[in-house]
Amino acid sequence: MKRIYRIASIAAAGGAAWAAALQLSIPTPARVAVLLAPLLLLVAFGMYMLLLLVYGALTFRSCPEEAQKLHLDICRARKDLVRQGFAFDKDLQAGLSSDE
Amino acid sequence: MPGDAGTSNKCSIIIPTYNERDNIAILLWLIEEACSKASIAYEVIIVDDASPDGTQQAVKQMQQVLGADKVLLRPRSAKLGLGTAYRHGLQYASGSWIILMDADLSHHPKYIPTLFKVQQQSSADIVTGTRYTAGGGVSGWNWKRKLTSRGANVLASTLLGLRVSDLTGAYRLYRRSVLEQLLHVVTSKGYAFQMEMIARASALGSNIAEVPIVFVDRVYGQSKLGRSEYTMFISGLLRLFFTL
Repeated sequence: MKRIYRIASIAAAGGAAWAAALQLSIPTPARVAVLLAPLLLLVAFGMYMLLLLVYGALTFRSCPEEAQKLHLDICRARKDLVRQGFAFDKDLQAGLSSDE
Repeated sequence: MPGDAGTSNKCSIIIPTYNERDNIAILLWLIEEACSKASIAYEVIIVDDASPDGTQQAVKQMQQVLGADKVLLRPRSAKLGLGTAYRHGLQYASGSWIILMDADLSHHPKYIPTLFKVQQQSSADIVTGTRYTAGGGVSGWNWKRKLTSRGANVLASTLLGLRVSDLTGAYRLYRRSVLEQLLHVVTSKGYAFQMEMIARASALGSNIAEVPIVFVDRVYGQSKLGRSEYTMFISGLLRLFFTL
């Protein structure tokens, strides 16, 4: 089944259960809890997404040493290719990114 | 095992290019270094979209250096899309494994043997490079760029229910039959294209493995994420959410 149909079915089932729960005669505090339940679910989901984002961004490594390693590889390649007669268009760029 | 003489375990590396005159020579040299060290039989198919900077001439020079059996130039007459570039290149591929990667040296060929090793260990249909798991990373991005990239992937993997950490990455090894199937049905453009490849592959039941890679961005000072990239990504993501 398509993902959206599954999600919609679960949402519909949840909605029906929620509406049914509101029909029951239950004490007011419980009633308020049931009423707010969908909102709380949404907020909880939002917080979960935020947590994933923050964790993901914090663990996303910056590796300046890889830029340096690449630079060395480029130097090696250029040296060997020039030796084999390859003509480069531009001179080797000395700078590395300062955006770390 | 890739590289066994006479078997069809050859790898075709399809690289779309536009104005990569100096980079493509270095890239081909590094591919030759990585593959010969690991005894991987390969060919590179360069799909150049009529670059005005002499990229095709550079490729022809490299054909002299590495051999025309390893370096194939299959150009196109205009700057067309990425998906069509892959489809175009695939027509000329003779390998049973296809690697798709970028031409600007942000994807280092040194990871190619690892892609194959992980494929053999996991029998995966697709092995994708990931910047986000332990061992992976990026060089040359500020915190804003990192946040956007990671945020987009977290959003997409949650919305689409995919356990692949790097959905927008473009450094991947594909089983040829799977790639052919996917390229027939994927229609997204931009970053959403890479996302749709994984989403559809997952829907087909493909086994997808990941390899940590470090993405090195050397194009500093150039803003590569305009408004159109954002909107294309969001609309592509929503389309996939509602149709897959």
